[in-house]
Amino acid sequence: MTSSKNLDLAKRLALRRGAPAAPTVTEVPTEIRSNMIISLPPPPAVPLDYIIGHLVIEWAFRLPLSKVREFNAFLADKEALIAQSCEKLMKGVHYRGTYMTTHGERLEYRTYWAYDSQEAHKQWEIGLRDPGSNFVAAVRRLRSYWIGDPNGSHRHFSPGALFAAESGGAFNQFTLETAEHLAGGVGSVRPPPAPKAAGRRKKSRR
Amino acid sequence: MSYRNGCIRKTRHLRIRPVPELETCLVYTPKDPNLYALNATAWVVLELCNGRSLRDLEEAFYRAVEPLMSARDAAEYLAASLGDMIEKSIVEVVPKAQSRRIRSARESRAT
Repeated sequence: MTSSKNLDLAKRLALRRGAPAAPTVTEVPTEIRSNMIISLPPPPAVPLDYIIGHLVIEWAFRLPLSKVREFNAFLADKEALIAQSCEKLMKGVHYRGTYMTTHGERLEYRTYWAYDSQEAHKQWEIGLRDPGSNFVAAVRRLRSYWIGDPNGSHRHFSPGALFAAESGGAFNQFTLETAEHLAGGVGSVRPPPAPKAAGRRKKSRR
Repeated sequence: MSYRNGCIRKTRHLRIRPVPELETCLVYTPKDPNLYALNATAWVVLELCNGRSLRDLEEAFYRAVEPLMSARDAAEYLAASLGDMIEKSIVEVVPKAQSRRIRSARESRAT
């Protein structure tokens, strides 16, 4: 590797976690008996402390214009209750607000939930345990507006950087490999078998 | 010679082996036989040591880490790292004239 490539690589790695760490030079103890194997500690994971969440869920829905005032009033009354109850009742589940957006003349709402991990989604079993609570009533009403829109969507987002080391499951890995294979045979997918030639052609008799 | 007056370069016959998957670089110093692991920041400093003067090094290192570090903080990191690497015979200080001769010889060889 040339020196300029080394420099580029070193710079990239130095800035992976934002501000570079203090420079360190550590002596590596070696032993003849170590059979040329050197033990180095693995680098810590890149902290994604700038992201909204490890998992973000978006509910997108439209409301009839006749319900807009009612819904905005509901948000003004209940959003703080929902947000604070999430923090209190569940670990790693955060309500990040419902936003009104305009698409031309149509109004659309988007609600965002952020989770500190993929597993945090299971915390809803705790959060929804008491069906008569103020929190559950507020979430039920919020969800009912989403249900009311037959074209409402419910989308999951995960930071792309998380997939640098792990592909996000077997099926994602399979999809990536297939795409890479189609792009030029980079992936480890075996090429599909070539179609068999049709049966022998009969010799034409002249 | 103080590195503040001369130029800084890698020591002769230094062996460098990047291990990017562990975000480190291994260097072997034959002059004073030892093996060292450099973290990525020290590795950047090492790669910049190609006969530059301290002033040029400060500028190049700052350019590599801005805007995440101020020029003053970058200079502090650099000074600490250079002192450490000179002591461990990873880099060495040469007079400016010698460094210029080496660089021009390298350039004429390249052309």
